Amino acid sequence: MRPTILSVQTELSTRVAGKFRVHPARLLLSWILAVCFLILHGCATFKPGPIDETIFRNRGQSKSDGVVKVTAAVLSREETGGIFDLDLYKKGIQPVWLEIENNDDRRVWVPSFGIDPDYFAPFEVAYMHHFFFSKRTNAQMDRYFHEKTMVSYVPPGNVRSGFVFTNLDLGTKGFNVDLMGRDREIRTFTFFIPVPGFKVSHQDVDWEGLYSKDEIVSYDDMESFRTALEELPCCSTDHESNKEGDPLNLVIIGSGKALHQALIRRGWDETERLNADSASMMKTSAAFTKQDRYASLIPYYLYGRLQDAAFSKTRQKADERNHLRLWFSPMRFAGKPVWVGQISRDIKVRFLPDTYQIEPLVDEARTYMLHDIWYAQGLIKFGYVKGVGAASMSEPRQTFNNDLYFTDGYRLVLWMSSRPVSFSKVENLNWERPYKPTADN
Amino acid sequence: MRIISRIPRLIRAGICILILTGCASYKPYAVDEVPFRVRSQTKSEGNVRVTAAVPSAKESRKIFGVHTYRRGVQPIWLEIENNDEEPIWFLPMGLDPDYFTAIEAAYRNHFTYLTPINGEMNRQFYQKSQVIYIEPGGKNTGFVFTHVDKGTKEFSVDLMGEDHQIRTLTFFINVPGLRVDHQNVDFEALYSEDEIVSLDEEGLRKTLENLACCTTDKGGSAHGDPMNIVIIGDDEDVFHTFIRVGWDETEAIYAGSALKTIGSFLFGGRYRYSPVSGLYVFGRTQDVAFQRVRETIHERNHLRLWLSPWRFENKPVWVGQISRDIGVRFTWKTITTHKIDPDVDETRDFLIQDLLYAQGVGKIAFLKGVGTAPISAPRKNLTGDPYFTDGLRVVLWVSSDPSGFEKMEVLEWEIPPER
Repeated sequence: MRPTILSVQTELSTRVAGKFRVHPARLLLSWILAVCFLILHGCATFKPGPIDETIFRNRGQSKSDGVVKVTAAVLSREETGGIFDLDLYKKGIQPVWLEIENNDDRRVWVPSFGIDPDYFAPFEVAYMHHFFFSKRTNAQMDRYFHEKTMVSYVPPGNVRSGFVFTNLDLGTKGFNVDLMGRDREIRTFTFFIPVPGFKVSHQDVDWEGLYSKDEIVSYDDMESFRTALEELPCCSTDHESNKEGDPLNLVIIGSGKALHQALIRRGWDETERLNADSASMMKTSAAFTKQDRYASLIPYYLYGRLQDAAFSKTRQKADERNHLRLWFSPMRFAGKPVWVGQISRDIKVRFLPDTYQIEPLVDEARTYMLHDIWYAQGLIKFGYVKGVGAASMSEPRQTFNNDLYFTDGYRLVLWMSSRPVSFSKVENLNWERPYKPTADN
Repeated sequence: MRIISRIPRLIRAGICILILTGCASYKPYAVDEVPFRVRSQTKSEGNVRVTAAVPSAKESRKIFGVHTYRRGVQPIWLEIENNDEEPIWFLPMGLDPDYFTAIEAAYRNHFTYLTPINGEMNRQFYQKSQVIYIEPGGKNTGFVFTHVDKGTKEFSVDLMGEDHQIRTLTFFINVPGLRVDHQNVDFEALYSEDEIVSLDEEGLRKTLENLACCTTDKGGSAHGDPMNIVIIGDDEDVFHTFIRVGWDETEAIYAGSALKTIGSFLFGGRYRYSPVSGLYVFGRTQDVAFQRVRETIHERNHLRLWLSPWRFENKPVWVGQISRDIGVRFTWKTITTHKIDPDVDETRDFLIQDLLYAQGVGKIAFLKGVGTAPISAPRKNLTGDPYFTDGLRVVLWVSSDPSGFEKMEVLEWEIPPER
């Protein structure tokens, strides 16, 4: 329909260009008519683009158990616009492309629920984008989304592909594809796919280049490691290292990958890189993610540099959020990297717009982290060490951001696993015992 | 206290100064002075005993001196008694993965300009809160602060012992203040004894296949949404399963609930318990309706259930209907109505997935009875919404004890076609 309108416009403009004596009122009227025509007809087109599945197949991640093969790709905003002719990201919808090759002798069931329990049904996606007074286009849209959605069953010896419409995530999208067979066997394939076009805080960190070989300090016995952790500075600092920031209340031992995947699995978001250029996704996404889930965190300093990685976890609303900053330390324990970090819980100050402060009992955020990784089945053992220094509720300490806090003075040490650890296998090292500081001391 | 936030700021400041200089009063009650624990429940596993109680909006206001429910905070009172040899850790995430910490909950209830009182409020919330570590032989009481659920509050108390034993104690506690639809239904009296029919497997299949395709309007003449679900289980099993999975109960229609619905429609709030219109089966409206809200009031799944006179292996058989609201549309009759997803089978599949993932299904079967309607020739419900279907209804046996997918039994009556 678009070409006809364009030609109407061109005709109009040539007429205007050729004959200068057109009555201004008539000219105005023609433009109004043209605009009305555009509104009623022109906008109401739905022209989905071609779907080149080989792009997704090549770019996507594939996982297989020898019998069933799953390939998954997450579409960027541009790709989504190009294919569906709609800005699905704007409504918080992110299509995931799936291809499932079933070499079993029974059909498999593909529940979308595993990928996202709040997934959008295809007719729902279409209905959210319907036009006024465009029954035919709307019906076309309904049919299109219905057809392009991933089927719910893949027959034996067959390949099927299609889209699942999930809630928007930036950074790394972590999800499971659970395939259920008629024999009630569940095959779970876990994916961590970077969403194209978003620069995360740790994207450009050169992990190998952070320390030279003789800067690395290796520990093998628990006692000397514990002493080293106790001797870490109490707190992060500001840029000039003059003033103390939030306390360093967290130490994590484990590979970067294990840590990253556990955080993504538990709904932590990677924050945007500081000073990201204007072309960055965030600038355009702030408007459509409603909550600023990915906003970069202000820099705190340790080892003479700002945090290497920053994550935040939004609970139900934007004003319920936890912040986590991590530094890759020069320490190694039994060959494993040691991460030093700071975790705090943002709470909203009532009556003051956009004002947040950290939960004064910083230990609460530390507890949250322990339990979060515990539920993620990523925890092997944990312990508490001294090093932060206690501060009471009546005599709190102050950070350079003017946040007041109190604490039992311990930092939490977590050993992480890359393989799932049963909930009950977790071990307490029984170093220090955390306590609830009394309200009046 | 509540009135304070409604008065312009300058006057508020003035009043505050008056209060501060005059008779500043923030006097919450002691926990023992408020009798909410009459509704407490106690559960134990081994040598660990947990008692839980949920104060209502009014009771919470007394205990904390502020209207915590209005700020989205619902306290749960717990008493954890550890008579084991080893210490246990309490994980509040089991109660609510997005729980509030004590001081955070206090901050949500702070007054403007009343700094000394706010400090006292912090202390009140903090002192009344639960701890995460319980020594052997120890007993701790205190509150955990969760998001508000009305109707039935369901939560698990997860306790990890250093003996490497997990103890999960699940509670369903009724919170006063919501008029749920099924509390007025006397399930015992719905059928007399000679109306009850016990069915064997073949009889069950035949009876359900011969059940009418659809719900109807009051007169019974016009067809509404198709009856595409059958649930088998005791009423407690059925209610607990849906609540555990995250479905909300529904308020009965009365003036208050109507106002709340209009408010939520206009201002986009989330009235999770909004009344559901009546459809008819067995000559009466649904006995119970559940709903599951996504982002706004317009995006939710609805299901209606009717207790049938049939019993299978002594368990009641419930027949029902599920649909997914995908938006609002305008009608001549009711001005606005919810638009349902025409792919009703997709919604039926959602329910199966939802219950399966929550390990709530013991047995599953599909059977005919709805009658097929292809996408090219859809049928219509009472509000004129089109729908299409493969014509099957799903039968789900539910139990309130979680049962794994690998143990689920499948009766191969009908096999749903590939879609």
